[in-house]
Amino acid sequence: MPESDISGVQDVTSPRVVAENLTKVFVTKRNAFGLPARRLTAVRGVSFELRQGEIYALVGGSGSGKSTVARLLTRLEKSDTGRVLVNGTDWTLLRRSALQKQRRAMQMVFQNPYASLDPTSMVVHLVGEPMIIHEKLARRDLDARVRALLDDVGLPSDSLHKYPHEFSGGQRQRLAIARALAADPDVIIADEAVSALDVSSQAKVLNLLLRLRRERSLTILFITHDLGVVRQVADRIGVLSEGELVEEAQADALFDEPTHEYTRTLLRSVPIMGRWR
Amino acid sequence: MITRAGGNHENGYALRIDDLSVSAATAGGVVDVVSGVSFDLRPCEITALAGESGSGKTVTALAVLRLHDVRTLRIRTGRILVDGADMASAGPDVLRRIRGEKVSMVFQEPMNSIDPMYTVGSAIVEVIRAHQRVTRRAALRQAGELLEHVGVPDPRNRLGAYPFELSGGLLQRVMIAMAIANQPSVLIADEPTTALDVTVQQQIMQLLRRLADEGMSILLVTHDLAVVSEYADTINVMYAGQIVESGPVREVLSEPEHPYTAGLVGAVPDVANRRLELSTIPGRVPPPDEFPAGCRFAPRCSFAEAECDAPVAQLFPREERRVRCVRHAQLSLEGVEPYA
Repeated sequence: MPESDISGVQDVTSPRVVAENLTKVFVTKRNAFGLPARRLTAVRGVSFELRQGEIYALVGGSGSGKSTVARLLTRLEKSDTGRVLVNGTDWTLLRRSALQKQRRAMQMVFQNPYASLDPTSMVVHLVGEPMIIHEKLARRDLDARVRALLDDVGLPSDSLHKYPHEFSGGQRQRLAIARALAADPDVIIADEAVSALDVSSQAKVLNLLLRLRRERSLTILFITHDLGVVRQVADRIGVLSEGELVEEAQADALFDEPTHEYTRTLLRSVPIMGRWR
Repeated sequence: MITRAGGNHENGYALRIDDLSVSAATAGGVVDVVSGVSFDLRPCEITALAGESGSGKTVTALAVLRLHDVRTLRIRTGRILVDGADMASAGPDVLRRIRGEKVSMVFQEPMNSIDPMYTVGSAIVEVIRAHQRVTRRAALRQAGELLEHVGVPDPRNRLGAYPFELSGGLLQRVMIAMAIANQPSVLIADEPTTALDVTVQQQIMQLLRRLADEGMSILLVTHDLAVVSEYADTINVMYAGQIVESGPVREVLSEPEHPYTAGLVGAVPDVANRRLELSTIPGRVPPPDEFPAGCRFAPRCSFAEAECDAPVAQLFPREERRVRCVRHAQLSLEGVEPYA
């Protein structure tokens, strides 16, 4: 695996996130004594870093370990080896309460906005909750702050008292992004965040993420199987195959001159607009 | 053995959809979710039915086999002509004969469309014996040949496998084997590769392309214009229940005449070239009870004028090209550049 710091432009600031030698083994079968009988190594020795203000795409097929990496980074899952440094703090050493305080820094946006937003919760609570939790914001200040955020992600600011079902898929994903932004994060992990959307709403959400990165200097880890999307947004790309990071490069370099055989296979199989039959 | 060209060669089509409208009963009255859809499926061709969710593409595809939800949807007008029958009005006996034998279907999620309790072999045998008077043993032999034809490795041994033992790609091949078991002339594939990895998608699309080259007519229902670009011969672009543009794939995508087609093309994130910003289409698809009386795309269209408020008929700008835009001749829209 190539070292991440030889792959092009080096940021002068220290990295926002450092993933070091992450491994995750799941027990998929136990014997009659409850002891592990079969194991699956979902992630094997994965290391990479996210630099301030960059969009790093993690690509790979289903079962390659992309989502597990996201869960290891955010400590939704404990890794078996390695460390996760966020703004210099090692999250793997933190106890629950300390971790809770740190969580603000790294927020997630999930694939399915129909499943990730509480259907019984109004927008003002959905989006405002992180502010109440992380900055102990008073209720009376909530409306104005939520309105401003909705405006920022391109949703009508009079939607405060609506429920998720009143929004389309693309709008719900904006809601999920607004909720993530409400914590004022340094890093957003978008796990297949535009995969379930139609192309026209997908384009709008991608443009939104690009703008947020520009305006807030957000660092974005973009997890996807869609290489067309990666081409449009990524600065750097890591390719996962069977739990291992097999290639990492600047986006243009990876598309122009893929070095690993798996990356080549992946790029060869993508359908391309204008390559007529 | 499987090679067979489709139905009405003399008429040039294997299946013809003529002015199909499907209506839904809603609180506000009866509304068309598919209106006035017409197109032909020709032998040896992959015809794409492309559009976003809510465009009516899946309802159209299901209606062809009368598999639409009859509790909420009704074929209001139109004919679906295949093998001398009209599926729109056919009785149960004709339906049974056409389904599977003349027209069959492959769905998006292979895991959700096969009975998990039966082995792959017995599932295929059942399909064969529903339409052909053959012994179980002969049908099983055929099943093995079918799996081989669709590129399942080690086909004889795979006959004994249960669906959960196969990967998504292999299972989709099995579904295709079942669909072509009775040598139908038409295969309807509704988002057949959407749930699959890109490497597997390529294999499945190459398989469908081969089946078309062997004589089958394939209706490919998809939202993916890159797949259409690489594998399909003709395209019908649907928006809000209507076909807004159709014609040969290369022509439609490289020189779109309808602003919606051009908008879609501009919004596709393409691996071939990076853009600073993707172009977008303002607004969203209206629900069926709010379809505008005039051009249905007009409220979202940056080229709309007063003349767009009147209902738009299909226009025929060039041979094989249809477009539903009164202003198409005045517009010059950007399309897909050929890939170098």
